[in-house]
Amino acid sequence: MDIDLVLREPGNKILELPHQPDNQRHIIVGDGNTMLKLLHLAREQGCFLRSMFATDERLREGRCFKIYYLLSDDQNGQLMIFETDIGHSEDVTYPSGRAIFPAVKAMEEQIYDLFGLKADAGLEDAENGYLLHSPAYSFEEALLPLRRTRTEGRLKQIIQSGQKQRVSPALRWDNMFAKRSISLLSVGPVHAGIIESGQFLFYLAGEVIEDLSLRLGYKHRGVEKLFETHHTLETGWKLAEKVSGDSSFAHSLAYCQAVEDIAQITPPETALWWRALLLELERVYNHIADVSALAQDMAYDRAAAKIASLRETLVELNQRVSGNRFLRGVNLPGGINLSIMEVNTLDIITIVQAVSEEFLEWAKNVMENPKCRERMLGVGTLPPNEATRATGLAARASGLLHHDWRLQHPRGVYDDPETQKILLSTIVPDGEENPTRQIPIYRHDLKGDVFARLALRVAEVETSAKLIFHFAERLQAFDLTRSAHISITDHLLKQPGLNFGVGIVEGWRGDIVYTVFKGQEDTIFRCNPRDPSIINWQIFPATVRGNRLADFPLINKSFNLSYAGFDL
Amino acid sequence: MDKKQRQKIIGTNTQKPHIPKKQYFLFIRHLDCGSCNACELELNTLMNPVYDIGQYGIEFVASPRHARLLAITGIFTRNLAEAAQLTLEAMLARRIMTIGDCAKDGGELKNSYAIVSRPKEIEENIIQHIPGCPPAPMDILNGILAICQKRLLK
Repeated sequence: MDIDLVLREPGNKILELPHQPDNQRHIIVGDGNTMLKLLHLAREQGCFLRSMFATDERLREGRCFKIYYLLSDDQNGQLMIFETDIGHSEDVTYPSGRAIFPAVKAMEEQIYDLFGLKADAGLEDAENGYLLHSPAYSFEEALLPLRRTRTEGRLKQIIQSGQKQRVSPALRWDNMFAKRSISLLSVGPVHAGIIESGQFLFYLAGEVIEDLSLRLGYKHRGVEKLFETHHTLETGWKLAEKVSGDSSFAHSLAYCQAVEDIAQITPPETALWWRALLLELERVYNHIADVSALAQDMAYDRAAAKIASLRETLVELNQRVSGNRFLRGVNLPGGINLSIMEVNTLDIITIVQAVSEEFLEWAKNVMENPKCRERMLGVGTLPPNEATRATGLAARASGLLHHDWRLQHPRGVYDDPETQKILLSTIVPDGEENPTRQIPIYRHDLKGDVFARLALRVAEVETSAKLIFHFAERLQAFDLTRSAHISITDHLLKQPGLNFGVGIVEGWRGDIVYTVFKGQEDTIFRCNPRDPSIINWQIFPATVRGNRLADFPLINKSFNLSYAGFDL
Repeated sequence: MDKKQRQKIIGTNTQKPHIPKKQYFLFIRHLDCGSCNACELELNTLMNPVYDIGQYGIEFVASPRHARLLAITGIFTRNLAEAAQLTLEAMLARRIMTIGDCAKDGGELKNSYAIVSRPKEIEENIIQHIPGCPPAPMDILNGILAICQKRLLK
């Protein structure tokens, strides 16, 4: 990104930190207005907002609260980090970036709840709380858990002062009742199936959904604070795995990459290939599960049952590779821990090949079934202008195929011609033929509707299977009995205290971003996980508008966003 | 790979649970009190053709009013405390099963500020706990069947 325009303008206080890695630029911005100018420029130059968070550095050198923006300049393969000091007073406000990057809405709300720092626009519903639902409890003082002055003891004190009060559910929606002529339907937080908790408010005109309000935060578990208080840099992966269960591996991988970024080490090459392989394994079993669930929702039970049992085969493969059905306990900062492997790479290839071929056959049945097509085509279409705000699978299903971290910023094992070739062959351009694909998914299939998201999942399963074969073949060149882990303790202690690292991984939902700040010795000063769901829940209501209520479960399932990953 | 070969590989690599086929009758309502979604996925797994929990006469139902057993997953978050209370109040018979380490004592997240202690009505009525993070579907299935076999619901 070219920031000279802003740099040259007189009165702008900008400092670029020297000695950064080639793919990273760290810019310290003096005041809020310059930050807004920079963000404007970033958007004009096609940067994508990856994450935004606050830190409480009042007890550190800077003695202030800070706001960080993480943007990726995908054309130049660079990660931009904007840092700004917003002062140290308790009731400080900072300029909102919502008008420029709408995705920061949820992040600003999170900062308001957890730090008590207010953006200067758009927090009208603040008194109801976002992640911390305030009406249900009244404390003598706001909780603001992520402030460093809120030690464990202090938090306990405040919590003990809490009085529970019952508020009727209708009251909570009160300030959203602007459209009174429309009938309202509140669903949740406890849903009818075996799914996570979250609340939806539908504005219905007949059976058409006019609008949808989301109320999440029910599952707020205080993960970010636990990173700081109960984990060190070397043990934090245990908690990262539990941020979102179905992306356990991707989350712990992003965390480990962030810590390795701090320690400035690269794990052994075997570990890198294994990580890439297991990441694809996680993608395959989750995509297969989603296709099964979609088939179930369309009452195509036979395919649903068949595909669900195929998922089970893969989950059992996970168990035999790593000792855990969700690939937990594998990633460690500095490498991987695969001591209990019961299968060799050839077995993995055979099983994945059998499952993926069988799956593709069934998926073809689902995609070609006229009743299923009728349910899916043109339903839950993500408007094109909103699609540019989405990330990961949701964006790719709207035709924005470049939205894949493995393609945009190929590093390590992804910086390999064969890997890139396989990744690029996922979607076949219109009018061309690709005899290597079992089910070719064409570009014109990706119109952002439920069908597009299903088709993309099917295409990605085929791609991931090919990647798994490729990675497994590459792994055969290594001695797999040797440990693929190096100790990072010494490297960590060598680094200065104010260091931070970023880890970004393309999980199956989209890019997962971890920013980890190192404290004294090996403590964690701050850890900010950003699940793709945080961005994609915000575009979700736009997808639902104008659809029938009966189609809502199908649309919801086609996104399959994480509640736990949003609520943290 | 032809179809036969494929199915042979899939067949040999998928577990087949061996449980005496005995019919019970139990409706379960699931309640997520702040999990990471892994326990939910394993509960969903129980309904696939591999485990097929329906063959034992056990079913997950939508309404707490129909259920005789409440299956709780996850830590008990402050924001869900009220919803959990309301779910419990809607049940006729209050018997509770906790699934996963989080539901036992918070597991990895036990020191969080976002957890509240569970009300007495819940603590007193827990009749089964299934450990694991997340517990394997087989463990959950055995736990549910144990409840039926020991007649803990009467």
